Amino acid sequence: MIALLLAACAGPGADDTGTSTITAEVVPSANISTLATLVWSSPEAFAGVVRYGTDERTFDVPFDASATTHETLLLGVPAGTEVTWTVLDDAGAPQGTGTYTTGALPTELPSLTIAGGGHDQFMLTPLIGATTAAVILSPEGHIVWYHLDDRGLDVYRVRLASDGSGIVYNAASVSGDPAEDSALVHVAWDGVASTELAVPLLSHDFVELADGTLAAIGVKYGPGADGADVRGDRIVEIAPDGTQTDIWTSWDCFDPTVYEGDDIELGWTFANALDYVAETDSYRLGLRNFSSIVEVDRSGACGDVIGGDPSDYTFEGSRFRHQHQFHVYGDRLLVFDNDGAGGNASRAIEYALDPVAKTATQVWDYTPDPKVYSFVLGDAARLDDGDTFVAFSVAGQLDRVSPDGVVEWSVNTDVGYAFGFVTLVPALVP
Amino acid sequence: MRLSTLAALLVLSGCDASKDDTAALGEPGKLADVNNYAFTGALDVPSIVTASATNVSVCWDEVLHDLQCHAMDPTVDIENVGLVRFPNYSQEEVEVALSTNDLQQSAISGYVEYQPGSVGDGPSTCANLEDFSFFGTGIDVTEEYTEAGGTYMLLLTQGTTPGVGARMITFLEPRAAETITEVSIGDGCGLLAVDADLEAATRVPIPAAGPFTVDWSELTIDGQGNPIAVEDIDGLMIAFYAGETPASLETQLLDLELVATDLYTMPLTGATTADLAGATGASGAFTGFSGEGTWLLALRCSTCYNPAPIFLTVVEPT
Repeated sequence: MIALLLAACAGPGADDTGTSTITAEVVPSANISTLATLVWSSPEAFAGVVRYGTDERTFDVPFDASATTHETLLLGVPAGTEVTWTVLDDAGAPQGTGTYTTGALPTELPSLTIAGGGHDQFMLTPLIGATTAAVILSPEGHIVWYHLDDRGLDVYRVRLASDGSGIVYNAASVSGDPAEDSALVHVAWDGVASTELAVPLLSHDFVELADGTLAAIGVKYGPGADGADVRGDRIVEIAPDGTQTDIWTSWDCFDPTVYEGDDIELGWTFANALDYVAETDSYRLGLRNFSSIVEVDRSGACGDVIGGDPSDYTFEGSRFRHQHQFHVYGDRLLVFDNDGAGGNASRAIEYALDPVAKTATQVWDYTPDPKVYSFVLGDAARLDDGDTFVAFSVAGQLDRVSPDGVVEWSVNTDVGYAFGFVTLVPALVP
Repeated sequence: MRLSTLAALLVLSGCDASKDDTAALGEPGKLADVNNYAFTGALDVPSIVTASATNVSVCWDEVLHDLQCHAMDPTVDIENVGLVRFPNYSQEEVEVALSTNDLQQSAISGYVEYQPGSVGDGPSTCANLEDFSFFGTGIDVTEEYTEAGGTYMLLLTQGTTPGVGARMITFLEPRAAETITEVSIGDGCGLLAVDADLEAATRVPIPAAGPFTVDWSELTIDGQGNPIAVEDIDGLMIAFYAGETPASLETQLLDLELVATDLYTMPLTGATTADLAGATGASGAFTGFSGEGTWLLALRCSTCYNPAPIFLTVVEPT
């Protein structure tokens, strides 16, 4: 790892404000080449912000006047980049400034080909294939944080820990038999502290609720149409005290003698995406083999089903098939549709929902040219400016596309590297 | 079908300094584009015609040499067989992308793999396409292995990481009019032709007695003139070739590890500098330059399809 350039200097304007000059040192992370900590102190305590960043992006980290020594995590900058930091008092006067250069990324991570100007969200995503890792991409598409995982399982989802301490990901397997040693893994920002919550037979997705409860998709075996066991699904909640409770299984909503689903050799319902709806304290669960999205109350009661044979909604326009991640925005449903377009082409597709008439009317879709196929995983999300973020996960391609279908930004991996689901967040720390 | 692809020639500028004029050499240990060799590669991937939309048995027991014409044991060295489909690429376009290490995941619409020994009682050198799978998903050959499906490439690798450690590559070409359902992959010798120019590159001065620090932070292109990603560089080689000249070594580019008199290597993890004293070989750690012959310094990418070093230069001990 390249040694970072350390800087410590008095801030211009220090004498003007009457505030004592600071002493500072940039300490590079031993584990993450893009990460460093600014350790600084002043003879007298004062409040303000540490501003750091690059030509591309700056961050403000506030501090208070309760101490004269501070440690500020310099998080979110790309590799091999000169970073400028400045300590500002609460009047905006600089009390110290300096620069350092971040190190290079480890060779296990792929080169990313970036075209266009990005967007305004950080992207948390797994890398799978030639490398298994949890990474964070800057809004422009550069890797700014990473954690390699060598346990031999895959990672499908990465989220911010709700307490701002780092990230949480699921180490699991949906290839063949599920893993008994699957886990939800918390990694602190420094990349050192890591804790595991063992949850056997985890599957694609999980969410964290406001009270710290984690909810995850897991595999559940039960009787199929002919009485022999089939691979269904469950939602398991893990309370903050570690108690694990299956609050729902596939059999709570569906009868295998009525709904057989596609590709039974993969599983019966094959749940693959999970969202939590705070307004109704319920979940939305994607079922790949039913091509359905089902609402599930936290008590386990089943609500509306959108899509597939069990659908409570009728469709106007094209239907989605073998979908993965989806999002609901008001009366709109945005879905990553793996197979609905046919011909080994995946797409994002949007519907206007009428919950009274129970109709889903196609209003928009985006299929890249040339076609891109993500036979599993995939994500689609609406950005604040009306553009749509689309992750063709196993095709290693991320797109930002305008409402009229113009690709305004894209990221591609080298062959052998794929993305998992992509979680968009406006900031990395609260 | 024989196909050939030539990568673009790297045109080096400012390389007309005399090799004996040490004053014209650059900063000691500084590796720059002007120091890099020029490389062209011709990859001639064979294509095997088969029946379409049906199961096909593929054997690799005749692959006794890999793409670099290095001897191998197909029962031991082939640990993964991957079938890759490119829906929008011709065979020629795939070859170009392989040669230039410019193949993106989105060009692929399907990947399934087979690991010998994972089916049956032990290592085998044959597999049915129906036995291939990935992420728990198998291949429906009637729908996914068809003449209209695009270009299909079989990748035989050492190791099980997808796309890494290629020992042999061949195209499969399903045709509706064909009935061939059993095919065998041939030997790898003669498929990869390379042409290297070491002499034109400015030599890199390094003090004979140390320090041995090298710095490639300003390196921007590989031997083919393509932009490099520093994170791709995962290995360094410093090697001595007794009695050899840069010109004689140009013809042995794929055998540089095999023909070295003394060979020292070290893994790299995203660094842009290294101390050669950290490189090790059969005789222990590298301690300095000596002997009559040629010293070569290489930076490698083990995950790239193209086996040629990203950077290769002649060291001028000073």
